[in-house]
Amino acid sequence: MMETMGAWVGVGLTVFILSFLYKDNPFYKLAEHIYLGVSAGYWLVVVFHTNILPELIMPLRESGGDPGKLAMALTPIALSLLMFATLFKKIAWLATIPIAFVIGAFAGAQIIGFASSDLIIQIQSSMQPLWASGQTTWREAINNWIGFAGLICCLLFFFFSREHKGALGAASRVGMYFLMISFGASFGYTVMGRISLAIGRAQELYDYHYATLVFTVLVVAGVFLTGRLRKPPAESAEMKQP
Amino acid sequence: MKKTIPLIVTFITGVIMTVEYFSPHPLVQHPKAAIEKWGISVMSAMIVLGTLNILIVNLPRIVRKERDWMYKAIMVAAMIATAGLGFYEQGKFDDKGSFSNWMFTHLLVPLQSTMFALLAFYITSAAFRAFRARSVEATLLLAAAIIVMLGRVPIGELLSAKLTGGALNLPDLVSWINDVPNLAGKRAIMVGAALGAISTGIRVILGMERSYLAG
Repeated sequence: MMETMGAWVGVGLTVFILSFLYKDNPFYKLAEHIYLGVSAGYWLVVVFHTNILPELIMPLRESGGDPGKLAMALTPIALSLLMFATLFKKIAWLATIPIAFVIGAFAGAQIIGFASSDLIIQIQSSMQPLWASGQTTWREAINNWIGFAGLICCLLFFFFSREHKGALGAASRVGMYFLMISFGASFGYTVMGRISLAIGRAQELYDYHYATLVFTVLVVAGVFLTGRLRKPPAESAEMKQP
Repeated sequence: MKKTIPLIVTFITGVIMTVEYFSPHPLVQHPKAAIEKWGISVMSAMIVLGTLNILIVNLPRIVRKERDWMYKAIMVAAMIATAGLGFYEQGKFDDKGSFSNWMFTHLLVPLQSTMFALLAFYITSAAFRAFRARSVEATLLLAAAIIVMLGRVPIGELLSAKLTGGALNLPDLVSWINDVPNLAGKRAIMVGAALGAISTGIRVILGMERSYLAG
């Protein structure tokens, strides 16, 4: 019973959101606001049970009066409470302390994270054999040359300390071509990802075709009626003059 | 004081998080572990604050019956119902048979995936209007996108086999685009972004970048 009801609700909300493809309408707005509310409520509960309860409340209960443990438990609570200072104008600046804490932590972590994972790993991975020998075939070697040349040209495209003229201009132009292929491929993958999500929704609409039919009729009738009932735009002063 | 204290906090946390990579000493590792935990706690508080802010912003508008107040009331009701059920069932969104799981499966999942699926139509329509092979760059972008999209569906493979007599296999071409030119472009972007992130991180720790203190 609950499953069937859930399927009908899911199908109804799907049809409501898809109705936006025609135009903005009350059904879409309803589904949109339900989505916002449910998401906010869901994340609140998830955050409470995964972080606030085990990391803030439990350590305080388990400190057992030990001053060291108590200090370690109270510091994050104090930092978290300072965030709420933003609600009061006079002490709103206090909220910058926990923000500064998070920003500083992330800035430090990202220096190491980006340097070790993105910068060094990417440079390391791009160092491939450029000559066919041993386990590297000619085909792989040619591809490695193209990849290497493309990477150098793309990096030169991002080099803005000199005007892009002459050899630098030619190389940066080739780099731009590589970037365009990359953007095109990324676009293609994004579209295909979204399309597969749309197929998933269409599959559910097909599986519960009675619900789909009912909600589609409801939305079409509703959009039509709200369009008819909407007040016509007020006549301008010039129009009213005889 | 309003600027100095946050700048000192940023400097200390930033330096500890950077130095920990180079030193396994407990004097550095313990504070680093604490900062990580506390940082996550502060971010959790930010989410609670955000939720509270939804109520603070919307409740007066609902009471005053401002424009679209009914939708706002529905949003607040949905939020309270989800959070209420979630807290009552102790956040067991994974437990089949619970109301929380029902709301997650039949409300959140369809809504989220349909919202993202909706973007497919808009991306496609925007691409149809914007993609014009006016220059070499635009042609490359267009060609790469079409090849990737066609190569990922069975009809692309069938078409390429029929039209070229088996000489060209579109999925293979997609793999090559992904492994060679796309990878080169992506690597360059990642290297550039990493250099940018590192320099921004250093600027933030040293207090040269203070935009987060404004407002």
